[in-house]
Amino acid sequence: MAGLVRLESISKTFETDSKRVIALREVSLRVAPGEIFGIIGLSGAGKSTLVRCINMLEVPDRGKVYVDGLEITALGSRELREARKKIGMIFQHFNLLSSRTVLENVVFPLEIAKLEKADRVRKGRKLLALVGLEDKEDAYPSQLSGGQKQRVGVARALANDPKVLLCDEPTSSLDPQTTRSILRLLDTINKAFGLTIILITHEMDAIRQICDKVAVIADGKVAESGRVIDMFTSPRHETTKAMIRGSSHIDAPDWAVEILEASAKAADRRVVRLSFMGESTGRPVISSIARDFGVDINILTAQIDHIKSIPFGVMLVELSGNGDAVEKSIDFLRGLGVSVEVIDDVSDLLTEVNGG
Amino acid sequence: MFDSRLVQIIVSSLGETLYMVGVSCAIAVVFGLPIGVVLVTTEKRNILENPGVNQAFGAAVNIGRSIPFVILMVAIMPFTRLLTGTSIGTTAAIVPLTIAAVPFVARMVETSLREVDPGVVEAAQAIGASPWEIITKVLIPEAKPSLILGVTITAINLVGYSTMAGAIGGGGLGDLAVRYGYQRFRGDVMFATVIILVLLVQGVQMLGGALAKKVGQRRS
Repeated sequence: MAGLVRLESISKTFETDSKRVIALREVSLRVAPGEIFGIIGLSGAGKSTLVRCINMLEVPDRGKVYVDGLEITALGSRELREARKKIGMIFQHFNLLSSRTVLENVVFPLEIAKLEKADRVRKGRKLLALVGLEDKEDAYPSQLSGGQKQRVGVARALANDPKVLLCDEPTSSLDPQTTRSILRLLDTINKAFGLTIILITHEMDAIRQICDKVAVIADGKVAESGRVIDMFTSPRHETTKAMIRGSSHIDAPDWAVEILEASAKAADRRVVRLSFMGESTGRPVISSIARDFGVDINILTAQIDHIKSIPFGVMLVELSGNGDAVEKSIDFLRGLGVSVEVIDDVSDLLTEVNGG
Repeated sequence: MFDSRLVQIIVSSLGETLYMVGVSCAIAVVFGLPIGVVLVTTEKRNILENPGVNQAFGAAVNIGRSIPFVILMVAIMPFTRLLTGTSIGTTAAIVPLTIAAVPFVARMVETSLREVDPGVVEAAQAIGASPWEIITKVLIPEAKPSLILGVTITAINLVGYSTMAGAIGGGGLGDLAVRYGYQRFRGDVMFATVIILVLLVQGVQMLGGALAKKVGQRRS
């Protein structure tokens, strides 16, 4: 697939008098049309720089950016301005014009696109209705809550009917409840218009709620990328694992510390993290391994979550049994499509407990 | 008390001061605003980044700002004569007043525009706005309350400068204070002049403050 947004070997280094910071190293990504693509990473990982390269707010040192077949990195300044009209963007701090009312903010892109005033107002009101702020058109940004400001930001970003919407940490300065409502709004817009969305965040929860695909950025590189569901069930990169642990609250509880330490030493005992998704979530696999392999199962923590709308369960269990019963039951579970991660180093979990 | 002739002189002196300050302030804004915009927008990582232009304008403004007004007034007399045909009188005084105020306004504008959230400028860039559109639709409107206060301070400074211009024959309240208060030992005229100047400055400040507040109302 060609990809609606395509990044090819993007590199960017920031230089100040005293030091050089490499923000991006040869990053390549493809985002398919209609997809919600998450880009996640710890702060300073380079993810904001990456999304700014898509509309050239940040000019990459090397590499190419394509949006809808157009090579953005090859455009002159006038053509770039035209191209930007089809790339919407929302920001962490909303970046609304304080001197303009809500409606005037929303129609600002249409003013730049030289639309007639009557058409601007008509379109602006439609957009405000879409984001649920039709009664606020004459308010000033300072009179709005954070969530409402971001809704204005979304309406403004959609004004020129963009092909893609770039979201740079759109929920990072919002409380959890408002975060969910903004994410739901983005999801609704994605479904209603088939709009491609690129979402930058450091919150795994945001990725889990609305993204189809995700790229994990660490140290200026794509550490891993793929379907969100795969990332949750079988994370490979350390950063991914750490972020998922941080998000799914599936750490070892304090009282389990002794059990975990004992298991780590014993040959016939294993602590494993089981991830179920879709179909396997509904099956009674735990009781069947107990019955068929004669293993004892001690459930330490368990949780059912959703990735978009797919149910997704995570369980931390200790298995113990004679001979190779534990190994056999692990193979059996894998055969059923359950993702099994054997925790060899219990201290991984313990540091989370102590740290969290 | 003052006879009616003296009152008339005081009133016309006030008129001359208002004329000098008003005209020179207006012209200074016309020239100072674009220079201030250039100072900000040609900075590093700004919308019209251009280190050469930035340094040249910065240096020119600094030179203008570092010449004491009394010296500037005398030094540019030939230029004043060229423009107005004379180097004395109220209209002639407008030339040095304006030249002194332009760099001042430029720095004021620079400070005001720099207060505008860079995120808002970035949002406008992301929308596809041109540098001109960013200047006229984002930077200046967003900085308007602060710009109005800057103009207010400029006008107040110009009231002070205009009295100096008066001392060398420029007319206005400064001229009055020197001719009557100093040379003719009329302490009451001197006193009246001071009172009028205090009220004038107070009035300008209140007007500017109120206007800035009105424009900035309901903003964060």
